[in-house]
Amino acid sequence: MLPGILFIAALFVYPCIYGIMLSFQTTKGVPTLSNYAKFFTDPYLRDTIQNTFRIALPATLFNVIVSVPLAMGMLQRPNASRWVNTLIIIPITLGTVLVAEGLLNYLGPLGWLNRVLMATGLIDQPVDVLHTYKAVIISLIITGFPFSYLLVLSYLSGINPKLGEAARMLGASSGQRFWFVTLPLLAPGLAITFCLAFVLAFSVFPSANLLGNPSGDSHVLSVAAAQAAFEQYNYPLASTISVITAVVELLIIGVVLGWRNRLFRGSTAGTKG
Amino acid sequence: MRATALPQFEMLELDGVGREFAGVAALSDLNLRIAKGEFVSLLGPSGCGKSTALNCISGLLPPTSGSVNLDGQAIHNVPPERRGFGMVFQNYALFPHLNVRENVGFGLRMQRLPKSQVAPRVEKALDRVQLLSLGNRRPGQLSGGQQQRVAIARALVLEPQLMLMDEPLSNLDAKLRREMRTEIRRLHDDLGLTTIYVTHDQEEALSLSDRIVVLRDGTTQQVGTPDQVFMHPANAFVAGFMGYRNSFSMTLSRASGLPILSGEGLQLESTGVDEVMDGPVEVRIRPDDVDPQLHVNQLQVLCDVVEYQGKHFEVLGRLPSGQEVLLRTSEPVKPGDTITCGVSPDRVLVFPKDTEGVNDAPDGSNHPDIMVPTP
Repeated sequence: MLPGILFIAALFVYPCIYGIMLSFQTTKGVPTLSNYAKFFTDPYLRDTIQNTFRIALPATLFNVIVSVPLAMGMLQRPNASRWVNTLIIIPITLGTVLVAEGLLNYLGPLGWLNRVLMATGLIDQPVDVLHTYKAVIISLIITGFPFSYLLVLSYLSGINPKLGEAARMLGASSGQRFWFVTLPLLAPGLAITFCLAFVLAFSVFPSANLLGNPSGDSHVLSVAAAQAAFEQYNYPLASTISVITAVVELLIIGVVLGWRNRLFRGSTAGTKG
Repeated sequence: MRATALPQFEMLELDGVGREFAGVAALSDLNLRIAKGEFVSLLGPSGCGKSTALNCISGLLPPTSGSVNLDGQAIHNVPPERRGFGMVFQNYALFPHLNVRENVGFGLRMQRLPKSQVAPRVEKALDRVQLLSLGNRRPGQLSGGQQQRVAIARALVLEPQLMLMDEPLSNLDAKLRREMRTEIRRLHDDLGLTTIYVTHDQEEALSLSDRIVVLRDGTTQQVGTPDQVFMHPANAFVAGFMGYRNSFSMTLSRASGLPILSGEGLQLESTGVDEVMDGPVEVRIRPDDVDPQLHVNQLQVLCDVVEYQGKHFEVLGRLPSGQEVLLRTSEPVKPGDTITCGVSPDRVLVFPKDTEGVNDAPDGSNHPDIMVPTP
């Protein structure tokens, strides 16, 4: 066990602690709180929190919520689900950078999306989405959806189908079955899925740089940290921004998991029989 | 309040009901008429189609052939949630996130009954299955027997006109099974229910039912009262399933004037050969009908394994020909002893030998002598 502990200590624990301590120093090594003060007094830095939220939250909510009806539909159609699942997983293999690059063309004024929308007469002017935070949200949805979908699919398939049958025999319509049986048993899993998907989305970086407006509405926490580290060579500030990112994520996760604790979290595979 | 779409019925009819999965018939041509108030068991080994039949009746599984009718009206257009049938599942399917009261009251809440009407009905149902003190527990905190009673109460509280039970006792220990068996029949009688009960346990079927339907590989083997099925099994499979565990391949011949069964070094007489032609037959005898005190139809048995059962011994032995014999005796015997037993001729069942072998037919399609008395 010792090699494992040493590995984790060296490659994870030590850098973390080093980073945290660095955030409380000036560039010359003098202990200080000035980095944090600078962050919260400079609007350009402070606004990164809301910029990141404005991108990460809608993308995560979309991914988690849309996964549910799709996964439910696929569970009832095993033949179709093979194709659909394969299609959905493909973006994972492409990675965030490739997807962002592709969207540069796709979402542009002469790109596929605008051409189709204008040809069908739905819009007159090209949609101005590229190089705004909206394009970043689209990119996050494409790369983040497979992850949420697979998680939701696995939670849903863990719910004993006999429970739905029993509900039917007790007179429940399909809407009632979803609301009174499926959703309560799925909710703890959705909370976990949300936490994981949110953390992924919150650390958005390449999409923000490539597709967004990294000095404007897509000036997210990770971009600010990268600028501090690699453009200003201010590693303490970069560490500060990273610590703040982690704290915000922990707060959100804490709230969601706290709510989850009040739900039934036992096995959904069926009573012991 | 959203009521069931179906009116009270007098007769439930299964008309040629069948269900295929990918070309394989899990159930074929089930014909059955069940009158209001009857307790009918579907009995058979695993894979015989009994649960499939129950699911076709409930509407959870549409039949691929035939129809389910109530008083002559086909009900295939009525979805299961509107049929008003109660169902108890083999693994109970209790809602794990709801407590006992909420489980039992679930159906009433789905009908949007006000809470003031739900609560007393739930209490009454819990009282009927003796679970009043456990109302606030979750299923995960209950024993198997308690869960099963919750499942029954949950179905009963809706006052269904038909109760469907899918092997509800198979996950319980023997003592609890016997107790709950009596409870189930008592509830059926007290509440004037109509019940269709699926089981693989012939003892359960015999003790609970007004009529038994024996199934094998999706086809009906026999329909009759417990006495009919037990004393006069229609074929060798039903006989074997009802406990006629001794099986001898013999030949029936009337050449000498009287019908004689010969084979395995034995000469046997039987009173049940009137409908059977000369030729190869399968002889079936219950172990408890092989009696050391009897001298007719003698068998000489070398005992191999002796099991103590308290009031008697179960003995597995061999005839001189090597054929296995199972018998029961109250006299103590030891392995290696040779005993002489007899069987009364009216307890020797004789069935024509199927060319395919009735016990081994994989698709079960070749069954002579299927007796289906009209209900």
